[in-house]
Amino acid sequence: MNALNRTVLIVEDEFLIAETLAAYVEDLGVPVCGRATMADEAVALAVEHRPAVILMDVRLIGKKDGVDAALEVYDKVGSRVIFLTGSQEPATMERISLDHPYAVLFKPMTGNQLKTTISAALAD
Amino acid sequence: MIPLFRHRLSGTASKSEGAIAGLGGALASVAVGGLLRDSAGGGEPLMAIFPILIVVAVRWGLFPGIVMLAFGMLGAWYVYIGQPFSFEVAPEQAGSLLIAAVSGGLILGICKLLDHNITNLRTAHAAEATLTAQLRTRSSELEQALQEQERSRQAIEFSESQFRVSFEHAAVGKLQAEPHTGKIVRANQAFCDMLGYGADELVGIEGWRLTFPEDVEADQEAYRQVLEGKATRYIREKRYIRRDGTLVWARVSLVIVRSPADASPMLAVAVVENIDDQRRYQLALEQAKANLEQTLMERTEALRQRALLLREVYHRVKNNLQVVDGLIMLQARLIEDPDARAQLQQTRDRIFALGLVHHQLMGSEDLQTFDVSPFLTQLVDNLVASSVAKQVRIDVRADPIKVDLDFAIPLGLVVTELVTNALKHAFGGRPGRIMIGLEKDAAGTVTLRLSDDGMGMPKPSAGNGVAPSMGLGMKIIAGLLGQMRGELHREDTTGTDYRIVFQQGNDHERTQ
Repeated sequence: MNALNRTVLIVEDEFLIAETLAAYVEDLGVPVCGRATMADEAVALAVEHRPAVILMDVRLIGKKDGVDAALEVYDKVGSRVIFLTGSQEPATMERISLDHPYAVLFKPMTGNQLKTTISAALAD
Repeated sequence: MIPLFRHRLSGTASKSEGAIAGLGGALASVAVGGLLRDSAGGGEPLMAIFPILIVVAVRWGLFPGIVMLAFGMLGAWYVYIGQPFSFEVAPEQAGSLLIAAVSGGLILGICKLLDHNITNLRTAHAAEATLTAQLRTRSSELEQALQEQERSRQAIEFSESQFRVSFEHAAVGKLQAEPHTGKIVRANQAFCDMLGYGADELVGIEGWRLTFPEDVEADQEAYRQVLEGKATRYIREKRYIRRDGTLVWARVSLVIVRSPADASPMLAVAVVENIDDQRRYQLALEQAKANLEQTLMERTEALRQRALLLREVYHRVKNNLQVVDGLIMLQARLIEDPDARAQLQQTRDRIFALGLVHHQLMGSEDLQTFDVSPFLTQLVDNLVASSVAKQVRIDVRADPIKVDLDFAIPLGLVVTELVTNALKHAFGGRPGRIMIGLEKDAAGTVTLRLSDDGMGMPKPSAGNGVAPSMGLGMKIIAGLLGQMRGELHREDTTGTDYRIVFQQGNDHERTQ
């Protein structure tokens, strides 16, 4: 498997939250390679840019959710996926555990939590 | 002479008795001989005694006979003493001898004859007596049998009348029917009353014709099982049609009476209970239960919907707060002035407190309250992370107190302000420690204790411990404490030591 780029892909269907996430990533001095709001789009961008880290919202527009996208990315690219979820419901957690999450952050996550987690994922 | 025969007949004469009798007979013959000698003028006529002795010998057996003979001989010898004994018979004595011989023979013959007849008679008599006794026994047996028969007839009659009474006057319906055709043979008053028919009207009618058509098929099937011996009992709840066309629920228990010989069905006997009321109550109860279950289901569903909705609302609020936070953050990035940026950061910390309350509520079981301890811990961790004083450690020790939104939001904001203040002013870049404690006493009073080991802060003046000229933070604290009816006490120590007392129940149940 080819090496991954030191970039971050943001998968989040709410613009303002995506914008916030992008700001944090930029604060770390890491480029954002793309933004997706749907699962298929996310997979396509991941395949194209091969980012080291993906910030993945669980709830997305469309039939597939973040977990579907992450599973596909795991097979095709191998990026580290940091899940962002607003829900601590057992069903959601169970779904997330299907994939191989690098980390799970619960909204509202703080900028510091996010930065720390992204830095760690990039360093691994 | 009867006793003699009786002895002989009974055959019980012993030897001693025979000897005494023989002696007596000999004496008698001597006495008779003595008398006859004088009157007859000679001893020869005494020869007539011998036949008597012979008869005795014959009748009484050998031993008494011999004794009699011996004594008779002695007697005769005594009688003839004094005159020579001679067998020469004088012609004048021949007549006497002949008479003696003939009369002796006659006596013997008569005795023999008598004996024979009497024996026959006795035998006949005895036989007759036996027969009579047997007849008597039979007769008494017969009489007893007749009596017993009479008794059992009476018993049967009694049991029949008892049965009739219990059949006719039973409170439950009773029915007898021909087992194959189902035609009613007999129906009691209770059954007739239940269906509104007269007793005569039902006899000969097939039971099925009284059954509600919808119940007939299942009913007949169950009956067939019993009739064919595949089932032992038939107990069914079914509907009958009354004469007026209305329906009545009944519980029917039925048995087949079978022939003792070949077990073929002889009679169908049924007990029919009117369970109309029972059934109606049962149906009403079932209906009520179903309604209740429906209501319960609706309520449960409504509750579920409410929970879903509440979670969704909390989620939305939290999300929106994050959006607001994001907007402020994006705005702050465009601001050069570090003081202005710091103030915006403070605003974001306050918004975080609000978001955290909703986050806790989302995960709470009743969607109304949550444990205060993890809430406080997450709250202060964020404050440390977003501040410059990252080397300050905060210890949270809170009793397991359940708080609701109305208590948690002001509490969170107050703690945010106090901790932010401490982080900003108390340590001056040095490491340190902030202790936060939350306790609830038996009276329900909640006390928040916040202290640090820093160098202390500018001391607020009197009043609620907060001067009006203090910054926004202190204003928020003062205002929220007023809202919560909390009292702030500031202890004088090296560092900061606040004690805030919330009286329980002075507003509403805010902590649980």
